[in-house]
Amino acid sequence: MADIFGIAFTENKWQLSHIKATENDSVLHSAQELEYPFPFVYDSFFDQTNFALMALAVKEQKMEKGITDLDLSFSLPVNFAAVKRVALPIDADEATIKEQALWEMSTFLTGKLADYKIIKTDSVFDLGDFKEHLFMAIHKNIIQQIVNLTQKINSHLKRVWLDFSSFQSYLTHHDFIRDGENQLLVKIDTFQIKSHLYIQGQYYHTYIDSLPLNEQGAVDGGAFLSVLRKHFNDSKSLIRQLPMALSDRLQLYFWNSGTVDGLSEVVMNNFSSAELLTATVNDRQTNAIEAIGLVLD
Amino acid sequence: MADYDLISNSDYFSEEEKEKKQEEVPDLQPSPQTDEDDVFAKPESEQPPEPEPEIPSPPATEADFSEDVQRDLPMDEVPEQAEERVESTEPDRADLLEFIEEKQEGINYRPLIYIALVIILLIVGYFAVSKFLLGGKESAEAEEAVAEKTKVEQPAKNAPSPEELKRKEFLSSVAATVQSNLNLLTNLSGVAGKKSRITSILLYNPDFLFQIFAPSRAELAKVNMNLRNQFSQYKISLISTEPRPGTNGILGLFKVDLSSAPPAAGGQQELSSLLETPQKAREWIDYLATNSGIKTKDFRFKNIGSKESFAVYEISSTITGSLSGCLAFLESMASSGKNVSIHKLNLTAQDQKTFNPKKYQLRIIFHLYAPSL
Repeated sequence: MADIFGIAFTENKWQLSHIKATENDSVLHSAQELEYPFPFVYDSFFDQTNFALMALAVKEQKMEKGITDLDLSFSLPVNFAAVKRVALPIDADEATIKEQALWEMSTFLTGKLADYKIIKTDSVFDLGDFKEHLFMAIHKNIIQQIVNLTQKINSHLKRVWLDFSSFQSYLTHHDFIRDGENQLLVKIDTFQIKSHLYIQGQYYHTYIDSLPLNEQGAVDGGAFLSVLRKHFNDSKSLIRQLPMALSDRLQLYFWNSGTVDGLSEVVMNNFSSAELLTATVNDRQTNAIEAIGLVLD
Repeated sequence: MADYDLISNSDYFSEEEKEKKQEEVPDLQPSPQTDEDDVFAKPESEQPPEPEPEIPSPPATEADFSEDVQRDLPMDEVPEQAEERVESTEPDRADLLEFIEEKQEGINYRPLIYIALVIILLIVGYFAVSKFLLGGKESAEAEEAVAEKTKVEQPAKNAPSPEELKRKEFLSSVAATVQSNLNLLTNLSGVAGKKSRITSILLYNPDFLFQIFAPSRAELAKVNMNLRNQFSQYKISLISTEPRPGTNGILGLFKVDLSSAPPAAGGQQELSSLLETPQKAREWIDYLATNSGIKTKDFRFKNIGSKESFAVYEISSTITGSLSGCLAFLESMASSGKNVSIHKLNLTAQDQKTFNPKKYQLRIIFHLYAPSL
């Protein structure tokens, strides 16, 4: 049985979780945040030069931990993929679904359709007369870069998720996602706020907002709170409209991987049921929630 | 938890499935190598310009000339005959003059006689000339009356058969549907307002879907209200919304129930001249595109069988230009009254980041009902 590295990317640091394989079992051995070997910019993240440096950084960790047989799992920010729900009548056959999805993805994606790997997930939302099927599209160049990295460090590629999947895994594993309930997970990062909405245990969509700044360039706490309230209220309103939602109760979870202090307190002080996600691995406090969720089965 | 793995899940539109689909659909006519069933198989920028198959030109159909070809007597024959008549009376006149001179003594009636004779001859000549001229006109008028009578009788004899009436009604109904749907499409395009933008339209009977990008949920709600106010006779519903990644904007997907649309002109539309061949259809499309300030990028066709004694061709065309140009093109198509039905129509913004109104693409697949050769 091979060791597993779970690698997640935030705007501030990259995260590494390590599942150590023993004779009989595998355990979560460590989870840490590490500095990027290059400046983080979304547009240039998967440039060959940058990702070659990333490969070296992962290789160093592999050698440092004395691992010979290694599986790699990656959690990518949702910014690197396109997620779309395709609405179709409930009695649509597979051919109709495919045709509609082809049309929707070809009009939704920038660039050529052939450059993307498009995946139909198992996530289906029943809206009465319609069902919404969730599709994801990722540029093949990104997949190739990840494959190249894995090959460069002589490892095996186990899985590639988007960040909302890693968080959902973490919430499910820790029983935060319960039947009939809904969750809004807010990931506070350095430049952006991502709010992932889960309805009835299924991922629904993500709100992405730039972290609001005031005239001095500091984070505007009031604007930040307004953004959160808006998404929270919109999510509740959306849940009420969905016929398949058993409850309109919405639990807010948040996690701060950014560099700005004080935002956690803003959330805690204004949302009574808000819960800050933290983790302890081997008695060590860690913020690498996403990387942990990635490797939990 | 649903399966969201980007590695273990296969590509939903894999090449193997595309090739399998191509094999299953037989081409009835020689056509380019790309799959003509799947207009979206490859983005148009990758498609090489394909040589169009030569279309055998149909035998020229001559206009039906009326059988009542009028024949007028040549005008120049009549004056000659009149002249001949005048000349033939001259010898008689000379004899008369001599006889008159021998009998009378003292009184010279000769000038009077001359004058009288001239007058008589003129009168006779007038009647002779008019007889020939008027007689030709009368015969021509008589023939014309006969011809008209014949003409009136012919339509009665060639009354359309029930089959021809049925074909005509079929084409009229098809044209009415095209007009109704395209009018709805062009009218809906104006509902977005200044702040929002229509980003894509799909017309695939009976489905009519359109997507609008709004800068906020409030603006999308305004669009929704405009739809309800302006198109209350249609069943239009907002079926999904989702945020546009990286912006505060929101995309709203609307569906129109075409069965709720009122038919145009009582379900029938007057037809204009028929498009007889795919080549004629191409010329028509190019003409509409040029007039609308947009450009035809490609044009393909294939025979897909027959219906109501018409040869049916499936024609696909990609047209690019501004949104307003594309809508003008569709408006022209709506009122053209041609023998075509729209199988599928997709109007999308080529720039999916800014939805630039100058860069739109119209992909249309329509069926041409050509008179059988």
